[in-house]
Amino acid sequence: MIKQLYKYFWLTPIFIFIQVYILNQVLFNGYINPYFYIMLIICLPQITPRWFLLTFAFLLGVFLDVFEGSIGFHSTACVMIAFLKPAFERIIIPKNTISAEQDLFLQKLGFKMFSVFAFMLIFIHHTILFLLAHFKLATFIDIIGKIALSSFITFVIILVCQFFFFNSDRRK
Amino acid sequence: MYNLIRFVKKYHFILLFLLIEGFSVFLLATNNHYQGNKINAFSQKYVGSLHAGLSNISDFFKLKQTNKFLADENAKLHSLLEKQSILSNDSLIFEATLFKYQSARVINNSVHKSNNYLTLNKGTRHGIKEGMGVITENGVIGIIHSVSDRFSLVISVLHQKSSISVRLKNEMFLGRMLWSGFDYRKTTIDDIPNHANLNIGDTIISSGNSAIFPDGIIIGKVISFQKIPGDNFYKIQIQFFEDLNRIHYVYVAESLIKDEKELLELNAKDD
Repeated sequence: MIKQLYKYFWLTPIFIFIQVYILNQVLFNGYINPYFYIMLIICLPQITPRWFLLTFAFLLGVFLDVFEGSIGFHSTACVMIAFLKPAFERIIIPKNTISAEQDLFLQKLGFKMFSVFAFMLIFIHHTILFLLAHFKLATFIDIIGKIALSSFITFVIILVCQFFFFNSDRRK
Repeated sequence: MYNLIRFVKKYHFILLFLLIEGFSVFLLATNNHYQGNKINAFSQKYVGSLHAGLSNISDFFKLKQTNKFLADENAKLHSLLEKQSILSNDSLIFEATLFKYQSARVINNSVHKSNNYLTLNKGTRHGIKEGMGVITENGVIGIIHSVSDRFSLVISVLHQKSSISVRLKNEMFLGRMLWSGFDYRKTTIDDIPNHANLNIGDTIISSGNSAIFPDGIIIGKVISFQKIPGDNFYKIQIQFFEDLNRIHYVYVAESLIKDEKELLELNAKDD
């Protein structure tokens, strides 16, 4: 296993804890429900083995499902973005921008590239998740509203998190 | 054989994706029924202890609020007791106890999902059984779905499949309370006929027909209603009196007549 990936193992419980016991408890409105734990999947470096990417996403989703008392919602959405991630990397991130071992963090990719990359994955994740969850009972406009607002807030939280907690490289 | 291995090696990403995603969708499809939510009960058993531990921390910050709640409750009970002592001398008044209550603490709660559940800190050890009603002073909270030794899982009224029998306080028209998702402060009521005299601000109470909840627990007030042309029933929106996001202590109501009532009704069906 690559050394780069070790930190994701101890970051996982912290992110799940923050998601379940802080973000899920704070309610802005029925419409805004940020899921910021997917930052772990978004930031995995390009060199990550593909099988690890999928398995990690699946386990992360399953853990969140268990804590939320739902089955299959988060794991389905997470595996889907893990599958799409390498393709998005090829399209959005030009070669030689960063080395393959580096995590896909904001200050390494630059604001523009990171925003496009992260927001697309967040949007796909939220779309799958809320479509599955509210499929039967809600109107189309309600679901679209919830997807758009939640994606935006998740994106903002991830940006803030990147600015404050993951910029240790810049200080050196 | 060699070709097969080469094929698997080349396309392992897509194959693995299809396998895992297929498994996820399988889990999703088979485990999200109203009944038979076994994994849910399983996770409750183990995650329950963690929820209970963290709930102890948040309890500390809610002490002031809880104190006030308990003081109010005490006052109410005192006044009831006084009334009772006056009435007990009168042999004409006889009220059978239909329900037995016990209090429980909410250790996990959600209101923002499409199907919401609560976890209580009492289980089979304390005599909680499946199908009991969960209430507070200001409203109906849900029905016990599954029980472990020390915890129980409640299907909130904020659940797509929850349907609770209610009625208007002033008139006897019955309706069904169904949650429409999204806003945890509001819910909808169906099946109240057009000719009922309905006003904004009317109180909705539980009907007691199902013998899960006692009769006459206040639930909410009407905030809007409309007549739909071609339909004989109102479409009513109500607002809960209870803030379902902030419930902390609840009562579990055990019906002492439920079995008897169901048996009687079953006999009628057989004929």
